[in-house]
Parts: sequence; C-alpha cells; structure tokens
Amino acid sequence: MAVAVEEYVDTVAKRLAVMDMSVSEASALGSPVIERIYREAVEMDDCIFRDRAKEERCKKCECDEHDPCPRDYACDHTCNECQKD
Amino acid sequence: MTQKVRAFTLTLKPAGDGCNLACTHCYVAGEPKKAHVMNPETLHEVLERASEHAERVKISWHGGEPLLAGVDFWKEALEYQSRLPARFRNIVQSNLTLVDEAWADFLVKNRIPVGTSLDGIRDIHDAYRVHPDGSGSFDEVLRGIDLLREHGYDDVGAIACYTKYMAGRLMEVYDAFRKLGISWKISPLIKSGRGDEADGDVGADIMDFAAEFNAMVDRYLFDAHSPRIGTVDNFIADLAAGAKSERSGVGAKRSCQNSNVAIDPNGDAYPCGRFTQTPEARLGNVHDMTFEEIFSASFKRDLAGRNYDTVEGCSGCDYRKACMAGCAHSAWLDNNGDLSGRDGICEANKEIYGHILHVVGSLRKGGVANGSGS
Repeated sequence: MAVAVEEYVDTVAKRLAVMDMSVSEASALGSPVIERIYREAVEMDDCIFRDRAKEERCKKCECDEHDPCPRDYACDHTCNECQKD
Repeated sequence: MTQKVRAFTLTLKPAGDGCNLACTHCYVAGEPKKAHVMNPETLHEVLERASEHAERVKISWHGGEPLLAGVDFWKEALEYQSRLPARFRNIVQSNLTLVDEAWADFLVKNRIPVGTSLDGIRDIHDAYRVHPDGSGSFDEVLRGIDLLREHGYDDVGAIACYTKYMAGRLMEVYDAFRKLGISWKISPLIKSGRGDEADGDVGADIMDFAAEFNAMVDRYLFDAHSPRIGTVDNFIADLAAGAKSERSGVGAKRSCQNSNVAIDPNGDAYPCGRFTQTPEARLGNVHDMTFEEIFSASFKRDLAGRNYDTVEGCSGCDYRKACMAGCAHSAWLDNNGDLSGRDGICEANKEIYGHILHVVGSLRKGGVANGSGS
C-alpha cells in the first residue's frame, strides 16, 4: 500500500539523515574512507553537497573535472577522473 | 547564435569499435572489428562544433581501443583543440596493451588521465579479456601501467567487471588491487553487444554481486591502506548528496544525458558511449547538426527527462535521490526500450545503499566493530 507523501518524505529523511554529517562527525566514526570522502567534499567546495547549478570550479586543484560535478555521471566509463586530484 | 553552455562531455571513438582485443563480454556488438579511424575533416568538424557549443569540453576518448587511431591522430587532435576558443580536457579509456615508450611519453607529457580495464587477478582477467587467438591480456595491461609509471604517471584507474568467473572471489580481487596500488571500480556485466550474447555464460547474479560488494565495503571502510574503490566512494557520496537534497531541496543530480554525447568515426552522434551499439539510438551526424540540435533530439530529451518521478517503482524508494533512477541505457536495454522501467541492477543497488546506511548508522551509535584495518 502506498504511503502518504508526508509520511514517505519523513521516512526517507530519517533514513538518509544518518549521512548528513559534518567532517568532524564523519571523522569520529573511525572509518578513514568515510572521513576522506567528507573531508574531500568540503575541500572541493563541498562539491557533493552543493547546489550543482552553481557549477563552480574545483577550488582545490583549479581543474575543470568538477564542473559539472563528475558524480553526476552515472556511466562508470566516463568518471575515472572522479578519483583524481 | 544561442549562448554557449558552460561545459559538456564528449565521448569520442577515434578508431570506432576497432580493437586489438576480442573480449568475450565487450559491450561492442558482433565480431571484433578493425579500426575505422576518424578522418581529419570529421575530427575538425567535431571539435569546432564542440567549441561553438560550450566554454569547456571534456573529451573522453573511448572505443574499441582509442590508441589504434595512432599517436599522430592524437597529436593532431590536441593541436587543433589549441586553436579553438573552448578549453578542452582529454581523458582516455584504453586497454593499455598498445602503450609503448612513445605513447607513454605522449600521454604523460600532455597530462591525459588514463583509465583501463583490469580485473586484478591474472586468471580472472584472462578468462574473458583476450586476444583474437584466445590468449590473455593481463600481463600486457600491467606492462602498460608500468610504462606509464616509469614516465611519471602513477594514477591509472581501473574498471573491473564482476562476472561468473569472479563470483566468490571479490575479496581476492580487493587484495590484488591493494597489492598493485591501483584505484579501481567494479560493475556487473553491461548487457550490450557481446556482453549481452555472453550474458548467460559470463554474467553473474546481481544479488551475489551485492552480497560480495557489501562484504568488501565492511573491510574497505576501515582499511587505511587500500587504494580508492571509486564505486564504493560513489555509493557513499550519492547517499550523502541524497540526504542533503532531501533536507534542503538543493543538489538534485542531473541525468548524465544532459551533458554527454558520443560520436562515432563517421560523425554519427549517440546519446552516450553505451548507446553507440544501438543503431536506432542514432541522433544525427555532426556534419549537418550542431550540438544544440543533437541535445534537442527527441530521443535525447526522452533520456534526459527520465528520472525518479517518471520511473515505475522509484517514487516509493528510500534511495531515489541517491541513485537518481540509475542508468538510462541499462534501463532501456533491460526493458526493451521502455524508459519508464527500472535499471536492471536496481535491487542490488538497494542492498548496497541499505547496507551502507546500516553501517554508518551503527557507527554513529558506536555499534560497529572495526574491520581488518590491516
């Protein structure tokens, strides 16, 4: 049975809210991988969280790889650069 | 003339589907083909139109095997780019078996990021990534990586394919990449071309993939010495972005179909590299269309418009803003052209997203014991 929209949004928000962390919160988890992902997101002008309509360049390396954010690309064959810089 | 877009990605296949290898599960259809190299007129036309369309153009050189076009073709391409107003960046996806001193020198000097296909372990790799005579290519790929490293480039990224042959051995593959020191990604078989024909023999159960992947996640998250596994990182980042989107309403990802086009050697345009094996997906030809017209083609707009609001089953899914309805190409293949159908890997993705949420949630409560950390 379909849930009401308000209830659904509330459920999703609760489920995903666990991922909504600051870098220091991510660091406290004890996972070097999670810490790195959140730290780099901030270093790259918060690129995985930002309003992507801004399409700002990467502040870390001044490259274009994050404009638009490569994480927008679903195809694995075109997003190797995600691992760069 | 309309205003330029800021950036887009162009998948260029300079040697078409031509390849020196004959991998059993290649996304290319039919028998292995000889290289059909793009002629200079078409190359120039593509670059000029791309430069007219966008301020910045990222070219993902793909194939087949793009190095079959020859280093002189590549030099011409980069030289011509330098004459145009757009800023071009180039990356290449190559099997690396053709890399010699000249190629290594060219790629490193021009700072072209390199991705390759590698399954980490010789017998797994050589089961399907073979020459036309059936011999494996593992050692040659590693030799290509070593040559690039000798020239100062130590950042080759690899893509591995989860097959029946790899099933049950993903942790071995993890150890292999860890030892090689190569960042990698992994995906199930793409059911296109020979990969589709071989699916019954090669393709593994996607839920087996999810189970092994999740076990690997448990180890990777606490392994300070592992090279990056881009696929895991992307799952985590997708969830993080989805969480932020849900709370603030910003950051909804766009379909890759809004910013990608693939071009064959004769100038034919397709929605993305994966669609180049689908004649009915042809959007037109760069010799008589601008990129604005290509992006405006009805099929392209249908693909770009596919999202979690249009796909059956997505509206009630917890992970819709993380996965964004998956890959349009996979969905199109898996549902006989019905874009309202789900990506065939959907259920596996849900298992992975759910597992990551569980692990992170437990960690935030202080409830998960560390993995290997070795």
